[in-house]
Amino acid sequence: MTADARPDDPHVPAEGALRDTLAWVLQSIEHPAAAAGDWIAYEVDPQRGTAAALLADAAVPLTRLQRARILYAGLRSDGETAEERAVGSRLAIACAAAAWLFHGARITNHDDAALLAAFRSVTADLTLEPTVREMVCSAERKLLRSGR
Amino acid sequence: MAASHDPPRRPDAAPDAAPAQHVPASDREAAVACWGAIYAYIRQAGRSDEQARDLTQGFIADVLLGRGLLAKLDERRGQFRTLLLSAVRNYLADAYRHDHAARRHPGHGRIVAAGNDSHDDGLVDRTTPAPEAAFNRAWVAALVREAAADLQAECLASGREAAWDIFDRRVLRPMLEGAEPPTYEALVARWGLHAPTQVSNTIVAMRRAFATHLVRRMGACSGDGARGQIRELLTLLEGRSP
Repeated sequence: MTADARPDDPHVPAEGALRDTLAWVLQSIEHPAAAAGDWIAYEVDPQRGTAAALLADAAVPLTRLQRARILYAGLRSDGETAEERAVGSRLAIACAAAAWLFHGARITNHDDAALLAAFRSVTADLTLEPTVREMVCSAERKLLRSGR
Repeated sequence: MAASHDPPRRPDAAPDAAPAQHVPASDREAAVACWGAIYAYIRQAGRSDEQARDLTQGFIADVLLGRGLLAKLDERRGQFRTLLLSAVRNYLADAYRHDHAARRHPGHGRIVAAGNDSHDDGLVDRTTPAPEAAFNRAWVAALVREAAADLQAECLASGREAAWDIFDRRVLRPMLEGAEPPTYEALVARWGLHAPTQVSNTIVAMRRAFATHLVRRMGACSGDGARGQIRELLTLLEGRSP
């Protein structure tokens, strides 16, 4: 290598892209399990980009929630760490809650009792974003009302 | 193309397990890694493309290689980035003084006016006028490229072509180059996978592995060190003082 060596590709990505990259690297250090949840949300809906934004927005189409539930279920089964698998499990349930709350649709085979128990396990998990827990709480109330 | 049914292996180390401080292993490695940042600073300082290239080569030959800049690195004085930025700034100031002295005393007793040294041919990015901002942006871009190259090499060496390809096509290129990402269905078909969850789990694992490599490249001694450095770079990219 000589002093006149220079990288072949002098392309410098846009500043926003570099900031985004550093931001998700930082998130993976600070909140690794939550990061996995957000990365999957980004895969499903890049505009919203986080699990909280995806799951607490009534305007998200049902098909997107169904897609997210499948991917979160995959994280639940095959996530790298126990924390990641737990987040996958919680967020898969949260997708079912959002589908029920915002679209009146059941996207799991759970009966009411199993669904209520699942919703309650999510609302009890203080590591999840408050907006997600509040949404699931609303879904839980709606399910209770519907069973009366 | 060989199909792979195996999801990528998991990264061996978390970002917090980064090794002791890593700066470029040699001045020559630093020369290659830092070319873009040095050039960006000089170019944004108002030099023409040709001048900036010449000055970048001059800095690398005279300071980085000639004076062994790495040997002067002292952790108490800050990171390599700070040291390099300071050295480039000084080098450019010296070059400016040298040029002006030459113009004031061109020989044969003639006196000429010192003109504007800003050879702006319209290519200088005036939207982010500070040379430091251009330097920092190019520095981060180089870090990202190096981390990606490390991850690619690791994947290819361990038979995880599918994992690298999925991450590169679905995450890196769209994010850094604005490329259109392939659909999950296309990636599943391309690599003979069974389910879209293999793609999403691969992406999660690869993002984490990329983060590990980027932290290593930053030379962070610990998770706290990595956090601090990334926050500082984020602040610098936003144009604020850390």
